[in-house]
Amino acid sequence: MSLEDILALLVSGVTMGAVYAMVAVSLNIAFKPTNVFNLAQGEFVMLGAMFAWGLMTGWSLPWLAGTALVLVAAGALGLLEERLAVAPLLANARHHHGWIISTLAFSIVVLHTSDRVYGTDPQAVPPVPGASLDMVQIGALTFSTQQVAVIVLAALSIAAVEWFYRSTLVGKAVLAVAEDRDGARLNGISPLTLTMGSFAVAAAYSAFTGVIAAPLVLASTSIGMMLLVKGFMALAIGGVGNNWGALAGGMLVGCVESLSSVSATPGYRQVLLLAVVLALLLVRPHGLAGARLTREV
Amino acid sequence: MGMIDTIPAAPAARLRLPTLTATICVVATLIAAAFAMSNSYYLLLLTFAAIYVMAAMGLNVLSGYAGIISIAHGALICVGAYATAIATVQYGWSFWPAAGLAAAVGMGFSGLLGLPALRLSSWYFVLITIAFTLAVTAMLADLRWLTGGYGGIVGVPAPSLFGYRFSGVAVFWLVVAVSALLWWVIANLMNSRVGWALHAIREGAVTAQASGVSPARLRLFAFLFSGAVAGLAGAFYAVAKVVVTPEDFTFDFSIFFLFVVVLGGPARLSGPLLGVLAFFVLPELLGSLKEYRMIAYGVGLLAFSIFLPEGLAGAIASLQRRLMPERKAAAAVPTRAKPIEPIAGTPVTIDDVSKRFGGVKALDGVAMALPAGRIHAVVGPNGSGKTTLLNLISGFYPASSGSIRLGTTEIVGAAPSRIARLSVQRTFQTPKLLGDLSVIENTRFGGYAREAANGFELALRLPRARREAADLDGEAMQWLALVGLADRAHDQAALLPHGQQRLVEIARALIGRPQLLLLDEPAAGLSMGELERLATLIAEMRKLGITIVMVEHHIELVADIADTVTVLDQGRILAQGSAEEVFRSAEVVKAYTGGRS
Repeated sequence: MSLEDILALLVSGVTMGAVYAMVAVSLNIAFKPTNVFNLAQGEFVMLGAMFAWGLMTGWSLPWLAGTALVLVAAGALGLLEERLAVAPLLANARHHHGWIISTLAFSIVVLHTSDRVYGTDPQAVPPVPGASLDMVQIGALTFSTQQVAVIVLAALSIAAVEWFYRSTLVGKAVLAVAEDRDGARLNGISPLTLTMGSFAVAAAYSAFTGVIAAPLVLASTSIGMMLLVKGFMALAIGGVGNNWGALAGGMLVGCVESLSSVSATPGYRQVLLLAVVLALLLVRPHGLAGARLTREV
Repeated sequence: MGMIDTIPAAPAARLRLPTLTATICVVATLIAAAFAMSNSYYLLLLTFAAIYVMAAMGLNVLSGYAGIISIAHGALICVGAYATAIATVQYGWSFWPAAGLAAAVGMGFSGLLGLPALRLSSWYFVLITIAFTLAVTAMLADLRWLTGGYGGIVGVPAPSLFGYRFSGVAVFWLVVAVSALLWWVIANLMNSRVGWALHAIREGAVTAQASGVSPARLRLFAFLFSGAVAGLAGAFYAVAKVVVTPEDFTFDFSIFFLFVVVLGGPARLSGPLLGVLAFFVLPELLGSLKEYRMIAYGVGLLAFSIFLPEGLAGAIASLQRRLMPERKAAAAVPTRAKPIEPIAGTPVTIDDVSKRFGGVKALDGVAMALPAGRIHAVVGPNGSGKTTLLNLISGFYPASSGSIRLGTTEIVGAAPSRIARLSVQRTFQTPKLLGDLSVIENTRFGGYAREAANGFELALRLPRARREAADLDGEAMQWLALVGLADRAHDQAALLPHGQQRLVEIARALIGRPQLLLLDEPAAGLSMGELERLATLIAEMRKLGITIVMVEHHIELVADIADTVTVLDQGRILAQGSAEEVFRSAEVVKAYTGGRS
């Protein structure tokens, strides 16, 4: 295999890795104030891609306007999910992990409704303004500007999320709720508003991921579950709650996947990734960088 | 054992199934069987339904009783079906060894997937199972030489037994018979310490560990059991289908089983049967809109998870409770008081123990030497570290430094379940009973580590398991009589008032024959009558020889019964000695009255 081939595989691995990292970060955003791992998160990525197709290709809206509409719609659906499938369960302590079932159920409804509405064929979505899908060659490196755009947007958005948690009052409030829901309430923070906000933002962020990934992976209703699993793998490797860890984990998953595509068929590739994640969870249960979250008696 | 002179009267038979649920199950099964006999379409439909019930019963053990949600069940059935098809068609095995192989393969994969979930929160497992399901589907196409690719494997032979070949109706009855056998096995297991332990783990594992259950071992059991059942169901699936192809095993197939278990009634014996009949057979018979079924399933799953987490079986049970007056099973109180064999209490040595939570020192250089068979009270203001001390001794918190010895055995660093197995029992500040279980079941659970019958013996109700159950039932009644709750033995624990729940916790601790008993504020919330009974009870326990460490605010009680008293204040020992000495000390009075000069 030539250097050009390896570099091309790495570029596509890093690009997909950036997408997985964004999915992982959206999982983190919803997880922070609730300790709920939203199993419908992958379907919001799918919805972002399908909405973008409908608005930009179907209605020919310009990219920025289309994306703004997609984010608002997805945010509203995220809010709906929180109200329908999460809040009633968090309010009742007897439900334990009931949210696993309810968010899964929500994702099933979203997926199969989308199948009815959009059909199951993959569709093309226009690239980010200024970028294109045409291949550019610089030395041994071949890439498209859309790939570069995805990587840059992923890094920038993760930096923005981190800045938000560290430097804004609302962000710190979310971290306080994550630490101790009742304690935060006593300090005048409303966990309810923050939970609703986090779900809406996480859904919008997922949808944004769908909008910028769709030109590369094509928009189809079946991408959600796959992206949820890869996002989870990135999260498991990077450590739950750790956004930069998610980026590193995403890159690792993306590169293992793309480099192994040379000699392995899709089935073996999935088995390989699953084996890597299982082995890692056995050795480092809280991720490569994750700290132990203790919850005792 | 000398303590049992008379065979205790066995408690009245427990009502294992609410009558209404049992009636509905039997009637529905009979109707279904009648349909199956009427024509070949119904026969095939109901043969698959019976296979689905079998598979769902396996998933119910994992996702219902153990509370670990899995999406991989359909994929495990797929693996079992392919294992059977490959062994019979390509290697010429007969059905039975192939079915054994299928069960073993299902069990192996399930155990492998479950390994990380033994330590991690169970939502990791959900995603691992989703990844596994996607990977299995992709592998079926890739391993063409083994699985026949998209064409699948054709011609799975029918099973035969002693020269009799099962086909058509006989396969249906074979599946029904195997399912019935599985039902019986699961019923036996879930009405034994295994079932109670799974229940306790689902409720948060603290009670389980305090009774000597290793959560990891029990979870592993649930993974292996459900995987084996999935594999076995896969073997029958391959037989009923004759042709095995990848398109049978979609992602929705996996979701289907979770759906059936959750809607049928998780952690209820009849749940899988009711779920399959109501949500698979009925829609098929009514021929309702197939394209919209997955959406309907999703909506149903969402609605049930919020409004009816007990599922159909739970709804029927509560309907019965409302319609029919509670049938009170007469509790058989042992007719003759039997002497209880003395217990050799263990001395406890606590040496320079400290515990830090972040920057806070909850305990700082605590040292105590507690001789065996005495009552030691630990008192002190709130936040002085009393409960932390109990949590260190019972292993729920690891000590930051220092040493705690039972006799000569060092226990710092040991898991709570291991410490419990060293005959250390405890109660909790807020009683942690398994609310859905009866009082006597809760009491029996305290004897978890005493039972010698293994899971296999329990599953098949072999003689030793039956004998042990009868003995411990009798003993549990005796302890309940001692705490004054024999007449409530068959009531649901959650229905008891707070004070009585405390007494049940003490009975639960006592049946474990503890050499060391840790009581966390046993008097809190007790009525005057209950308080008197508690004092007598503790004196009784001392007479048996048990070493008792008691955290208590009720100073009169402490002064009455404690041999020695330790006063903690802000994590340090303020005073230590006999009750009289300690309560006379000026420092103690100051700490209690809040005066800090």
